[in-house]
Amino acid sequence: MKSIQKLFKVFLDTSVLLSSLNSSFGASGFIISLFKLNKIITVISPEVISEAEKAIKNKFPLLKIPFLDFLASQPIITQKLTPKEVKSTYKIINSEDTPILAGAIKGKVDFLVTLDKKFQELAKNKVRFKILSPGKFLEEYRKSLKEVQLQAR
Amino acid sequence: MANDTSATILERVNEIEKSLQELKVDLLFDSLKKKKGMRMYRTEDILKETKKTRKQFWNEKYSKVI
Repeated sequence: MKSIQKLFKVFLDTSVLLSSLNSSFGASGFIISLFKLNKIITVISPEVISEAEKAIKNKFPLLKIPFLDFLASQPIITQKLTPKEVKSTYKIINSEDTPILAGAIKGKVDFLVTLDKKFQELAKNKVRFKILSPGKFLEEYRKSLKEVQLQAR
Repeated sequence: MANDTSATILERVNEIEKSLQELKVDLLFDSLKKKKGMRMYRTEDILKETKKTRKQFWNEKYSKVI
């Protein structure tokens, strides 16, 4: 019987999204490559888009075209958060990262990937999905590939 | 005699081929290293700017909801 690899649903924090647009050769860039090859499902939220737009406008103008190109690849964009969702997530982490975490919860993802170590620590074991750095996520992805290959033998 | 010469030449050709392969691998890794450095901005700056933007949005929009 042939085993089928589950498509991971991955929420990109703004830091990872911008970093992936900045270079294709790092771990963040590799995640976007996996998305473009339909190996993972990428999820972002309106909050991530607003943050990215503002950061690009203020500091990183060269990322404008790669950002538009990414949006044209049609990642899943979650619906706008309700005040109730913001409040309930604030009870979990009590930080400015609340809207981002709430977006990932709303998107029913398997992973949230962020470059912010503090954010990773803050939400660790408090939600159903894993919050990892891009490098750690790639390790998990590789591990799951190996498991599928073993099952298929 | 002729066989000895051919063997020597083949041995030499093999050595040259081996050296060429090593050179190709070195060149490949070297170019990959250079590509790794092909970033437009520093990752630290991206993280810093993201945090700053997030804080602004939080103060302007979300903190009022809580």
